[in-house]
Amino acid sequence: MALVTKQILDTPIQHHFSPYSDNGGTTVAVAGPDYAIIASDTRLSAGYSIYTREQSKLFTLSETTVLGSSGCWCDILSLTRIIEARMQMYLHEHNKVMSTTSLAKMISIMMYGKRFFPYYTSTIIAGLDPEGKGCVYSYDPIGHTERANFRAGGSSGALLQALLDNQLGFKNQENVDKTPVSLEKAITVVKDAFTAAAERDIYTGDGVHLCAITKDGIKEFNFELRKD
Amino acid sequence: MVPEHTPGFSFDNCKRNAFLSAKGYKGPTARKTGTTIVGAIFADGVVLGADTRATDDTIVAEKNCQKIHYMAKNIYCCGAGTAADTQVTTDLIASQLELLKLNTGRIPRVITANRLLRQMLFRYQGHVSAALVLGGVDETGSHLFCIYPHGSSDTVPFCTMGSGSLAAMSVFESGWKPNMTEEECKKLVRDAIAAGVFNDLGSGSNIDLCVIKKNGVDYLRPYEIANVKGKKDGDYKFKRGTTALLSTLKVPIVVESEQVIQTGEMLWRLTDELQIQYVHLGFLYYNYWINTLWWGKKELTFLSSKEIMLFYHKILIDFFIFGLKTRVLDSQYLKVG
Amino acid sequence: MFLTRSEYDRGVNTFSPEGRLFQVEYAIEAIKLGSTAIGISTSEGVVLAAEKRITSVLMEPSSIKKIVEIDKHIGCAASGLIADSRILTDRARVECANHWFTYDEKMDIESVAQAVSNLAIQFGDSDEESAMSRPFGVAMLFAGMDSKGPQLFHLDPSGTYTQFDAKAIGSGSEGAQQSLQEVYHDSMTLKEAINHVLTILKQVMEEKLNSTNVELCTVSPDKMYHLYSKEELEAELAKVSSIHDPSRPDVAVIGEP
Repeated sequence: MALVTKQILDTPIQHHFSPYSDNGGTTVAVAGPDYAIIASDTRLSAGYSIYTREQSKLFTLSETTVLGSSGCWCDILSLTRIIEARMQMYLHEHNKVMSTTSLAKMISIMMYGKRFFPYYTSTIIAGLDPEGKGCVYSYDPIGHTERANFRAGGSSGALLQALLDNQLGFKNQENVDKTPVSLEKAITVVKDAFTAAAERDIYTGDGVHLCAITKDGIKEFNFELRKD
Repeated sequence: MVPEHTPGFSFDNCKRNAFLSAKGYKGPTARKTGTTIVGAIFADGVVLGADTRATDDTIVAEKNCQKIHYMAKNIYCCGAGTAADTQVTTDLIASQLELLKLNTGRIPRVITANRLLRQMLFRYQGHVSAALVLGGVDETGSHLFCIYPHGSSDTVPFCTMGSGSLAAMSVFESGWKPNMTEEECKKLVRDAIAAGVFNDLGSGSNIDLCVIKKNGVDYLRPYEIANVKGKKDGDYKFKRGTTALLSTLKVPIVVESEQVIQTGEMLWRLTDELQIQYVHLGFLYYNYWINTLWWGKKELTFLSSKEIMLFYHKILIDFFIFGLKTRVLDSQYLKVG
Repeated sequence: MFLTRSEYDRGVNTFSPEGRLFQVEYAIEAIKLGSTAIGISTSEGVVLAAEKRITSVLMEPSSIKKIVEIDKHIGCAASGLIADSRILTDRARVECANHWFTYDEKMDIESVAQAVSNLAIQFGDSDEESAMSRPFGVAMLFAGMDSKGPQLFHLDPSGTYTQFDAKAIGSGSEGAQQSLQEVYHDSMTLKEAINHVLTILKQVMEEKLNSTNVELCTVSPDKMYHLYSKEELEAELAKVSSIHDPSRPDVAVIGEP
């Protein structure tokens, strides 16, 4: 007994600063020839608790760009507010709205600026590029970014990316027509992807908020998911 | 040589696993039943309740798992914690109770089950992580215990356990009263489990109940399907020819023999053929066959032996009535394969 | 002439009772001593031409740079204290590079002019806040292509920046501006503009126009910033010489007979 006590006392205790929390959630985005869609679930949680069932994780940044983010909710709020401020400054400095491609680069640099104390987020932006084509950019927490045609991020990211690869990228399929899917089909696939994620990921559920971005503006949709 | 099985736990790999984890190897994680389980006593007995979700970290590993375990005819036990621990611990004690029943010729008491479980859990100092709600009816009346992984237990009129215990307890604290009717109690237990299912991420899917009374047990699984599987809008069937083939090989099906069987005689011949078929096709195949072709069921569930017999009879009667000329192609297909 | 104002000449940021900043006005005067530079913006692109004063036969003409590249899509001509212009063009280059780095797009010409203007007005007496103790003695023409098309901006030492269709700066600016006003029209081609800037430059220069004492650049959608080489310049100068427009006798006489 004495030996054990001594052992415990002699062991140095390392204290940790843990400023992050994982509030879960999933984001999916798809880029088409003349549209982009982005969706997130509406569950905000921590550990085994649900904070709210109706928190969209989408942020409309301009008429052509919507950002979706999951991870540490306070970092998401902070990041998006600074992005909004930077876009406002850009508007005043350059007399134009920041394009999706410019925004994509700026976000990357903002994130890398916090390389050693990152925003703990899984972020995706979707929108139309200056040519009017749909575009999707995804980020890791420290600003690595890549333009893609479809991306899933957040707690079900790994589950859904494979589904999107198969259904939208036609991976592992032979003798199929590989032309990009229509907006309606893409919405169906994204919706079903969330339905599937809610079956198996405890952090994804309650509802889906979806934005479809076209040259005519941003249309919003809401879907229900299982609530357990 | 396969090592001989010795009773009790084997600690053979402890040193090796400690060495591996010291080198940075992350071993697999055990499946948890991040759970809501409850029990409540009413006028004539005990109602136990449980959700049906099993999790592996943040992934739902099983959507309809059974958490109310059989201990004895008059005793059931809900388990929360590591799935394997709850399952094996309850099974182990259930077999001890069965032996006790045979040795003494009496119906085992709930306190006995409680004591055996506690002793087992205490022996392993909390390493067997099973949190249990034990309920039953014996000749001394209705009893309910909640048992903690380190081996302590409480004797209570209602209790909750698992990650959803707080949600469930909020329902009990506001709704429980002594001497409830069976229906009242079932409703309350349902509400308690539902609170866990909807507010605790570790709990989910369906609600199972087990009503234990002096004259028998009502095992209601599911009592309520609280969450239905989400409906897909899209069609995800792959077109024929979508799968990549590395190479193809055509094997012609050779019909070795053909038999024409007359009505009457057929009944017995067919019986033989079918029996052979069952043995060869295996359990899964015939289940699928029975479900889709015969019962028209969509999901693949295992049938009870009663159901299989029912099917068996039906098929024979049908063949008998129509007096078909039958070639039992399935058995020949097997020969070729 | 300025003797009576001397009291308000000491502090660069001190207004005179009439509401003038003399040091800034003097800086603008300094530009009128500088070599002439001309720019014309057409629908096909922008052209810049600048005079180089070769004050000695021993001087190496190529070491004088009046037109510089700011970015792939922007050129800049300066007149006045060329040493000052170096600081401003450096800033313009940094701003462009930074804009590309941050936003993955070309910086608009107006934004460049604004950014440089921010530096131009940061003169003052205090050591901490000021980049310079006096106003910059240089005027600049920014010519480029951006999302809005061909653009020409003029920046003076007061930090004022203005967009122009055609603009001349430097010692010959008054006469040149007059000529630009006469020749400019909306449908001018880039070729015509090149001819006009060289012709006008020839008009206002004391020296005889040749390929060593003039610099020429264009910014067009296909080539973006392009500084003319000696050979290319000689070819353009040859065209200028041969131009004879009967409706414009003043232009015609400038060419070599």
